[in-house]
Amino acid sequence: MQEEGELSSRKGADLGLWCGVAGSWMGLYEPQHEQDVVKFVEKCAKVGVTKLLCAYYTAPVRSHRWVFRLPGVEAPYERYGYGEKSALSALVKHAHGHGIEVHPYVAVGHQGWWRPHPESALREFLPILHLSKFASDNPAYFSKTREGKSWLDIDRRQRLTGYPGVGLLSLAYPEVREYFTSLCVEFVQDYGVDGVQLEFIIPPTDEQGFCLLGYDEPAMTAFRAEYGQDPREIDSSDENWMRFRAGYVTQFIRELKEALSNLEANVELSLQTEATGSTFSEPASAYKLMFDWPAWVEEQLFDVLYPRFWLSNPAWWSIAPTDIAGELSTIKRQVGDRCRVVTGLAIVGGREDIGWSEDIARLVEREAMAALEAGVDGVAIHRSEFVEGLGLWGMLANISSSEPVED
Amino acid sequence: MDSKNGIDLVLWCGVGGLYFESFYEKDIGTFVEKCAEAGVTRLIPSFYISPVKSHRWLIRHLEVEAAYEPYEYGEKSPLKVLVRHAHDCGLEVHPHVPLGSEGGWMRVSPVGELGVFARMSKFARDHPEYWTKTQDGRGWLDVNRREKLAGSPGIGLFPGTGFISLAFPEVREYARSLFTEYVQDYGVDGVQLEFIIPPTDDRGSYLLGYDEPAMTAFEGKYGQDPREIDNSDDSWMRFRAGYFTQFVRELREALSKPGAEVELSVATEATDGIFNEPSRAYKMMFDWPTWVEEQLIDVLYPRFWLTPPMWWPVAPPEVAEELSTIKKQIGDKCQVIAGLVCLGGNDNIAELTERAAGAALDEGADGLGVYRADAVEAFGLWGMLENLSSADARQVS
Repeated sequence: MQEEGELSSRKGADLGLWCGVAGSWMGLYEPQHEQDVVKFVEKCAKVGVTKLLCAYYTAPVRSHRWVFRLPGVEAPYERYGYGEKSALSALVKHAHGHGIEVHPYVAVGHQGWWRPHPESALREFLPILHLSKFASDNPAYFSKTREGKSWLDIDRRQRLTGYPGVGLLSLAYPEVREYFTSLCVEFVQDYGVDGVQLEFIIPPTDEQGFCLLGYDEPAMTAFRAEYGQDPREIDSSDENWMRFRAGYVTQFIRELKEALSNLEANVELSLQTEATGSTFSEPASAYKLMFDWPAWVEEQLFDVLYPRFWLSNPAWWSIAPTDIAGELSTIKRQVGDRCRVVTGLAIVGGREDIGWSEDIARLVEREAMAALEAGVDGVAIHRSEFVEGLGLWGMLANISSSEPVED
Repeated sequence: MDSKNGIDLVLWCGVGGLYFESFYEKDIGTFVEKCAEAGVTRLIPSFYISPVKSHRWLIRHLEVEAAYEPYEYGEKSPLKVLVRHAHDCGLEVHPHVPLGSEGGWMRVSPVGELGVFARMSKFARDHPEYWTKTQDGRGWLDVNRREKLAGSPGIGLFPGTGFISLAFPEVREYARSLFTEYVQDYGVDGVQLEFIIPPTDDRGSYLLGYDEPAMTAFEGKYGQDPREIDNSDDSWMRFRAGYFTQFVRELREALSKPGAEVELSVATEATDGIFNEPSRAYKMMFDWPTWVEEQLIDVLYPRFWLTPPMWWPVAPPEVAEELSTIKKQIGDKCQVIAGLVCLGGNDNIAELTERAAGAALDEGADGLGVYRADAVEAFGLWGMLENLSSADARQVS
């Protein structure tokens, strides 16, 4: 039964929203005004959002600090308050006050990026480098190519399928797996979140779709010991080597699940990545991208899977149209009843063959309804600043209810 | 090199085809060759961070400042390299500089959110008194970046952009010296004043300019403190606009000296009535009718946004109508080149642009400009440029 002013989600399905802590994505973080958070959560509650999936590319916890670098300078990049003053604390407090869950998400391995210019049609990078302090102190942990190059060894102007824009740490190092595990645990223990979400950034791949990274000392040493081969002397698409590298990601999720299960709080663990290429349409190949979700489903390592379909097409990422219904069907067949599936719908960037907000809203609503009819457990929209910027709150209300609403 | 039908085909760009950065000489060379093949006759590279030592920039985050010098200087500067390659291919180079814009919060998202890094010139950092102010005495850095003053969103967002006041002769001298340095040291063929639409109230009246020299001079002349009259008071509005005209006069004079004679152009967005209501343009400090009347400028570049970006949902332009108004106003006192903005992405952007180009040429535009090179590259619009540079452009509309 819908309460006046607050709509319950449609058919009991979740309506998730990827967001920053106050609706904006990156900009309004410091110092965080609590009233920004309050206003944002109220808007979410009004339209029936049930779950906030908030981004923390630079974590709001003291133990996981970040820095930025310009030539000759490295300085703290601290956009948040910490602890009780943190934006995450405020978000959890107000969200819970409206019955909305909070699931911060962490980009697995992601510990550095060159700052992109948001207005460049070519997604150019500015000469400003962001790094976690952990990564800055341990550059050896950055995952390497076959030639032994890490992200920092490659000029940001040389594009290697999206790399070196983003720096990914290697999960072959137990210290790295511990670092990410501890961040998720801290979110639960100190901030009272309802769950944590792992985001998997699509790594750089070769033409056959095999991940180009992972040539890291612990992995290569262990592979040599098991197979008697130096990975640098075999093809990067060698199945044993590929599965070996993917195995470290699986290991990380196992360790994280165990750590979370040892906590008093019972929290949900979810995973998300972009539904592009063959990630979801060819489950048997997913390990090539180090995202071996079929294996993780088999081991029941997580609770919810969020495949994210891009309905808009930023100029810097040419995405082929996706057969959403087809991929969802494949996913549902693979997971059975071992985990839930929430369809992610991304509206970041423009869309070449439709206009702005009104058309994108109707497109998203159609896809959301189709996904719900296909039996997914919910819909999540990426991202909140586009909802705000394009005036799409009515769209969220339409997805969560049966009554159409205009913005 | 002339374009294929004799009109100027202009491309706003960065130095190497990208918009914001590219510093490999090979990138610049490749880009210029592509432009030449497509029939481009003139490049307008933007330098939001200037590539000259005398006009350095920095970045600030909280209490930390760092030099922000993305370019080499002197012979290795991307502008020098661009000029050399462009001239070899018969193209002209006219760098543009946003007038008075000496700081800004760096945007972090396509919907225009302002991030936590501020860029500013060292000149402005060393002289905070030069930031232009609102009626209640606030400069750019006094306004919380989450607070939006009424007026133009997106480009003119205040406090997104920090403007220094042209009421200070030192500021006019500083701004002018950058242009003359481009001419004297880099061998450019012209310079372009980029005019960023300032914040305005809901009547379209400029909200800034409450700066000490201006207020003192106004009170001296009219016996009134500008802070005690309506912001849109006509005398006060014209008084403030007069400093912009003064700057253009002084720049024109500097560029008239022997060895510095180059083309002076101005560009701004064809929105908010700037061009289709010429008698009101002074209210946005862009008194182009006066500048044309005094023959201070050689070329006017109204820029028409054919597709709106997310951070600036402008209404579709009436290209023919506005150009007709402009042509009536300028007569033969200066040229007009229609700028066509193809940012924002759209499946039929090439068709839209070519149609607008045809309309512009039919109304007597002296040339066509395409904004920007990164969009041309990202959306595969080199063929569109070729079409624009050929006789076919006149047949599209």
